[in-house]
Amino acid sequence: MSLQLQRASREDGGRSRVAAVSATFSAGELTVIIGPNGSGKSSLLQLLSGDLAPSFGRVRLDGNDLASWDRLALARRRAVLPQDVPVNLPYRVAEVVALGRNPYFPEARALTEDAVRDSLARVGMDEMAERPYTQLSGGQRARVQYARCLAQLHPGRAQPVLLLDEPTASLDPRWQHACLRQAQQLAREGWCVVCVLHDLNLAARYADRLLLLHNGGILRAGAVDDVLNDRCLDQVYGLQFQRLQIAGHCAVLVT
Amino acid sequence: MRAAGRTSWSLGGLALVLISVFVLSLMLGPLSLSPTRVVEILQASLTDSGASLPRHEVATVTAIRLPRALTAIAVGAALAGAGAALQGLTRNPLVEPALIGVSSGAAVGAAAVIVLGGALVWLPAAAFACALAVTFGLMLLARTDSHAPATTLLLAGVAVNALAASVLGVLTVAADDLALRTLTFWMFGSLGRTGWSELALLLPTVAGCLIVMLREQRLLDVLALGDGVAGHLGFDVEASRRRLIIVIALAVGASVAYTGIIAFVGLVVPHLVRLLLGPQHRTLLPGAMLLGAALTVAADTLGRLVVAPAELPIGVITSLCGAPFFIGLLIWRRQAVVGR
Repeated sequence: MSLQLQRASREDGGRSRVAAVSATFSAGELTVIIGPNGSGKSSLLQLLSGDLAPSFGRVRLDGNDLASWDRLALARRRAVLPQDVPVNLPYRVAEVVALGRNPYFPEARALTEDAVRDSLARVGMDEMAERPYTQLSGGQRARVQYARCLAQLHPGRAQPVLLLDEPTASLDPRWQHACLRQAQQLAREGWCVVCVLHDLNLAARYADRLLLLHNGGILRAGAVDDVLNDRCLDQVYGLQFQRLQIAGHCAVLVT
Repeated sequence: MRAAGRTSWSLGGLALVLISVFVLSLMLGPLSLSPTRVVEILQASLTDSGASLPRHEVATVTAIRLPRALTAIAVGAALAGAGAALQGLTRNPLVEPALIGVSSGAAVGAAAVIVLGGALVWLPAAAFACALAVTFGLMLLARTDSHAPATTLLLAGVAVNALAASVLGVLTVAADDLALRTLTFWMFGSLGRTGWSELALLLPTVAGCLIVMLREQRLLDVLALGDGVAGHLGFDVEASRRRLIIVIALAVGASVAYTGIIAFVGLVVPHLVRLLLGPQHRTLLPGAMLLGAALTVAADTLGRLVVAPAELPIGVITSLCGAPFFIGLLIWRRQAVVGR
């Protein structure tokens, strides 16, 4: 089954942020949402996470309205990575990641520790487990939060849903690729992964499917080759793009 | 586990400190008693068999020192617990019930009952109602400004405290002599006015509030990551927030109603416990409650002794120690204590 938007709209103060979007996000697929600032990417992700209720239309997971899901059942099924998670109190990194295990409370300490260790190892932060979160750089914090999301869905239940809001924004190139490779790998394992990105080349490299948003609606959805064409991008971003093939990878360049 | 072992040892240590301070407070005063005598009197009063003990010693302990020490324990635990919960709820380690105006709000309610001549049974109710109004108001304010709730809350506290001071001023003018003396006692806080009948209400109220706070410890941890993440992790944030606001206001309101404003316990104690045991509320809340109780008993005993036969109000002592601590926090907040 999957996560579905059925003519979902969200209006705030008379302004339409998401306009009658229909889309299906399937298990086993990494869907990347792209689009210019203000095109509705984050709002769309918030509809998918249930943070925003649709003004019209429906958001369904496994055919049931998101709002009708039991809180805990939903928390065990899907995790959300917000853009920045500042913490004012000196929690250690391992403690922050362990917070992701809350939906499974009460859980044996050993299981929690396994999940925390495993998740931190996946983002290369296992060496920093005892460091205070407050002393980390923005990129390290982002990786810890990514680990917290992984811990929330690990050990993987049936078709977990992972929603990522610009996970690569504060990462260096190495970890940008590591993060998305991880997301791709999780999709291969049957997860439903939805990721908002600004970097078109990262999107092109890792997405199974692209959604190009414009003015709150989907301008184009489909395989990378269909969506990343010069005409669509020029129209949306108001720039001249050129598409290249380099070493077997699709890349777009502003000319 | 290393951490878990250390935690239970530390909590046990704090409990031991509390018990020692408690016994000391029963021993010390114009009439000095030995620890064994104190224990004898406590045992006798529990079993109703104090006939063989000197009557004046029994009376000193059971009628004066014991209710006073129990009040200190209840109020100290309530204020420190409320401080820790408030800091978790607002994600702001610099707030404290007195600093952001919850205590002075409660004092206004209590003072109004005294001056306007309501029956004294309404006193805790009025204190609670005003504390609740202030807390709810501050939470709404903090929410309109999610990016800098730290400064917003503290500035709002300045405004609420100023407003409360002026209302108290108006009430002072309207008060007669007797009411005026009672009012003065709110300003500084004093533990000498609670007897067993007040304790019968104070102790269960505080105990109930502390239990609710302890039950919300997982939510308070998750809230450190923000309301959004707490929701994603399956918590009903709004319901828990409402519960916590109510028990914080109730704990502070009940404390202020019977002992006046005792500032900075809710700020200093959670910080000390965080340094000792880390920020997890599983240990922070019980640790703060134990240490808050111990420090309040100690401060009150000190206040009774240093200028005997007069008494230094406990609020004066806690502010004398707490205010410099707060200034130190502001200076060093970029370092390990607060992080960021």
